[in-house]
Parts: sequence; structure tokens; C-alpha cells
Amino acid sequence: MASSALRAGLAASQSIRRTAVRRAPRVFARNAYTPPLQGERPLENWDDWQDFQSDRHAFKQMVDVYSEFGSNQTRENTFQPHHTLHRPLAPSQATLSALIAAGAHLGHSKSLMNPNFMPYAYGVRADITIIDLDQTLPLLRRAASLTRAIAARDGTIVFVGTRKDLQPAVVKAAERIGPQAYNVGERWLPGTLTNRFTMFGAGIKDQRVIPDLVIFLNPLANMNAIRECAIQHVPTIGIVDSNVDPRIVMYPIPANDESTRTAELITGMLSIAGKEGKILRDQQQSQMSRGNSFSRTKRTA
Amino acid sequence: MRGLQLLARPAIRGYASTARPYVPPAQLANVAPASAPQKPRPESPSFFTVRPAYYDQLYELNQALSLSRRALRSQCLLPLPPFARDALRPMPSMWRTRGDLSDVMSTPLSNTRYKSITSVLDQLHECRRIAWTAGSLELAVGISDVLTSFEHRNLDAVTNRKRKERPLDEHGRSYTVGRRKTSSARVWMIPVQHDASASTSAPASETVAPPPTPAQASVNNDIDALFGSSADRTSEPASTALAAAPILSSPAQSAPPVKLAEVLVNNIPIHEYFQNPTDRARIVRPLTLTGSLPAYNIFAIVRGGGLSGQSGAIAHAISKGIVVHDARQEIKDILKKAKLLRRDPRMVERKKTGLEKARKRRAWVRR
Repeated sequence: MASSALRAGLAASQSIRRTAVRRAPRVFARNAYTPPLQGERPLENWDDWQDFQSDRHAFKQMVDVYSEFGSNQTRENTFQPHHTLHRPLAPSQATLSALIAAGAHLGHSKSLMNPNFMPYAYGVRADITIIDLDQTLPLLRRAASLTRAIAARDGTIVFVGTRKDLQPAVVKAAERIGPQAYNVGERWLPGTLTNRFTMFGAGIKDQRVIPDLVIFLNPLANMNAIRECAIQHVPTIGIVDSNVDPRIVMYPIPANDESTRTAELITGMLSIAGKEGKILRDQQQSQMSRGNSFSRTKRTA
Repeated sequence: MRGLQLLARPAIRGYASTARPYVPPAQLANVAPASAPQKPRPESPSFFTVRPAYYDQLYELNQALSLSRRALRSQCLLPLPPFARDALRPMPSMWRTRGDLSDVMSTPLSNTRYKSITSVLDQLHECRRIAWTAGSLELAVGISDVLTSFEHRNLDAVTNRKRKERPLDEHGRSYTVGRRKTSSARVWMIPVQHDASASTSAPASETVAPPPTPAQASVNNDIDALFGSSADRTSEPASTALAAAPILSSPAQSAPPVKLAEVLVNNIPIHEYFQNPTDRARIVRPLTLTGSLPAYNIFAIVRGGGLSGQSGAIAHAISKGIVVHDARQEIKDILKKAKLLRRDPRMVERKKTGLEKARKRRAWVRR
């Protein structure tokens, strides 16, 4: 139920997008640069501003011209920090190198290790528990497979990441899967599932509110939510670190829960698996509808 | 293929239950799984946050912000160097109040959530300002479309409002009110007239101050003895009274005498009402800081509190009165820096149960 303000905002974003696309000449240098003390000039009217902009644009173009003689490594063909969020890897592309590059093997301090985590620990180095990624990888693919199957059966998936740096990841993951996925980027209010009629009102009686899968990026901070999922018999996936008992979630993924890059990597993979499941379901629906139409034509003939 | 097999495996139990009879799997080979009419899902992706309207709105605003920033960057307007930032045209804005915005969004808004929305709105407004100043009007209009529903209803009135003018009355007096602790002081200030008439500021001050008491008269006589009296005084503005007075070595030289200003508190001279020199210094401080000690005759009516509270209230009212008479920015800056224009918010803290006074704890006993 979008409010009128929300709808107006949506329409306005579209108009901004159109403006951005129309006025953008393709340059490769990302940021404009004005040399200090040299580029300073009085900016009194629109013509002054036009000159200012065209000078900066000329500088950018010069940078582009000379960039062709420089290194072959450019912004386009190297890894950038935003790639884990905007260009996620598929579960089939999950490799040990990708996990190590994201720092997924770095657990917490040795003294904080939960004894139930021992099976997933590789060892200790520099007083830190190193997580065994040889076990993480198949568990990650198992979780992805589960997400794909649940999405294929039109299940509701909720991504929970209640830290500031995890918020964009869960929002994007829910967006990627579609209307059957939801996100919780800030605090999970206790009683969301077990006290739902008080929290949401009686209107939810006609809605499917209990999710079919909940994915936790920081389970230790969301014990209330995990408890509620257990009470309501909701399967859970979670990134468990070395200070966490892996039995709190149904499908643990032993990895570093403090690293944003690891969380974005895992969330990206699970969201792509969910998207694959949705595509499979759509394919099946279209096949079934075609099958029905064929059978109908047979009868008439 | 493997994916479709994933779906083709129906979830069947190998046993009967009271809810459903047992069906051999072979019978269901060509039967599509029953798509029971499912209940609809919640619409918003932030449904499980329990405040979907707020989170969706914030998301849309952040999207609009990142699009505007991308547009500005493509037009080489971001990042702006400092000299360009200083050249931006001023564009005042005011957002809806928290209650108003709660009604518009039809969801309760806490202070933190309201502030998070207004911080994004401020950033969008900054982008609009840059676009508008640089002549990128399409983008400015696009951002305005997003921001109109969040702007204050009476935007023009709110941004153009001015502080209430407190003019001088027909006698040239300022009337100001000052407060400190539980005291409040009403103060009339009139500039001292340094003209040729023998009794200085005679007609005006008579309405303000009654004739000096014998004690004050003696003080005045002493001062006259020091500086001597002269009839040839030119009328000067109050603020230059002190500057005009030359430093004399002997009273014999002809020079205009500097009449010190009179301060009356509840119709009593200041040195009688406030015996403590600290209180007198507090009252006179705004005048000494701005160099207007001989410039104003002051009449104060003060009620409530004790002596130090009353002296603070009078000082507060005098500072405000100086600003009314002399609206120069330097005077305002001096008084602001000395924290004389601000009503001191400190009040007596209440006594709490279990404590002797507001903070004093009872003696600690081991057992």
C-alpha cells in the first residue's frame, strides 16, 4: 500500500533517471578535478557555470586520452569494492579463492571459540580461530540449493541483516528475487512472528505472513528472531562465526560474520539461487499452461 | 533438466494421515501439483520490519539521492571545489514537522526516524541547489518533484519570517525583559542626552528616573568636582559619549563633563539595592563590554528570586536593550560571545527521594 508521497517519489526518481541518462556523455575518468588556485574564478551567472563545467569536462577527456597509454588495468577490468554488492557470484562460481579473498576464514579470538564450533574450525593462527573453508563451501552450496528449492515452490524468503553495512545487501537480495522475498535491515522487533496480530493488526489474518525461510547474516545479534522462527517451525540459514553455536540455525554456513564482503558474497549467492528457483517455477508454470492448451486442442480435434 | 526434476518431485508422505489419504506416487505421475488458492502475500518488501511505510520511503529517497548525485557527477558538478560551493545561491528550505510527516506517511514516526528522513532530504536539497545554481533546471525540477510533498506547508512564510522588531517607544526608550533562575526583570533604557541644557537628559529621564537621592547627589557632586561642569556640551550620539570625553589633568580645563549613567532598581539606586559588588559588576558587565557604560539611563523593575538571580535577570535585559538601541553586528557578536544574550537555562534541581538534596547522598554505612 504505497502512499501518495511514495508514488510521487517513485515517479520523480524516474524523471531524474531520464535526465541523468540524457545529459551523460560517456567519459571514463570518474571524478572531475579542478586544480586549486588555478581553476578559481567568480561564478556569478549560468554562463560562468557552463564555462566551469566545460573546463572540467575537457580535463576529464584529456585524462581519458592519456589513459590509453597507461596501464592496462582500468576500473572496468579490475575488482572494485562495490562488485560484491552489485555483481554477485552465482552459487556455481563459489570457490575457495573467492571465500578467502572475502576474508571468510577469519574467525574470532581463540578464547572466545564456542566448543560446538570445533568441527568447523581448521586451527588457530595469531590467536584467531581459522574457519575450515573446505567445510564451508559444501554447506554454502547446500544452503543455496535449499533457497532455490524453496523459491521454486513459491516460498517466502526473508533476509535479516541488522547492521548498517549489511542493510544494502539484504535490500538488494530481496529485490533480486522478487515479490516473494523480504528484508529486515534494522532491528527485528521481538514478537514479529509470535505476536503478529498485535504488531500488524487483525488484517493479516487474510495474508500469508509466516515465512518459509529466514536467512540470518548476523545470527548472534538476532537471537529473538531465531527463537521465534524455531517456535513457528520456520527453517533458518545463518552465517555462524567461531563464537557462535552452529546449532542455533538449521543450515549453518561457518564463515566470518564481521566482514561485509563475506556477507555480501554469501547473500549474493543465495539471492541468485532464489532467482534461479523463481525462473524454474515460471518455466514450469508456462510448460504446464502449454500442456493444458495442447490437451484441449486434442479433445476438440 | 535437473532443475525441473527438482520441482517434479512432489512432497508426498509414505503414509496416510487423518488430513490426507495415502496416494501411490505412480498415480500422480501426470498430475500437476494442486495449486490451492493461496492467501495473498504482503506487498512491501520491508513488511517484516513492522514499519514498511517508513523503510520504503527512506529507500525511495536514497534512490532519488543516488540518481541525482550520478546526474550531477556526469555534468561535472560533483565533487564541487570550495570556491564553487561558496558561490552557490542561497536556497532556504524547511521540512514538515514530525507530526505532520507522520500523518502524510500514515505511520508513527519516532524522532530518530524523522531525523534520518530529514538528513536525506537535506542532501537532496543540496543537490537541487547545485543544479539550480548551475543552470541544470531539468534536474532541479525533477528533484523538486520529489521534495514538494515533504516541504513545510507554509514554506514562504516560514523562510521569510523575521524576528519580531522591538522598536523604541515615543520617548526613545527600549523595553526588554530578562530572566534568571526564578527572577524576571523589566528594564527601560534611554540614551543619555549630552546637549546644552543644564540638567542632562532632563525631560526624558524625568519620566524614567526620579531626582537623585541625597546619596546619589553626593556622588554626583564628587563626579562634578572631578570633571567640572560646563554648559557648552554638544549633543552627541550615546555610543560616542565616552570617546568624546578627553582625559583631563585638572578640573580647571574646560571640557564637557561625563555624566555617568544612572541605574535604578525598583526605584532604588543600584548601590543601595545591591550591596554586594559582585551583583553590581554582573549588572554593569554588558555595558562595560560594549563600551556603553555612560550611554544609557536604566530603570529596572525586578521580581522574584534572590539578589544574584535578580542581578542576572537585569543583566540579561540590559544586553537585549543594548541590541535594540544599537543593532550593529559587532555589538551583537560581543554580547553573544560573552553569553549575555542567552537566557541562562540553569534552574534549581529538584530534591530526590533517598537523597538529602538534589545530589547529596546520605552517609554510607557498611551495615
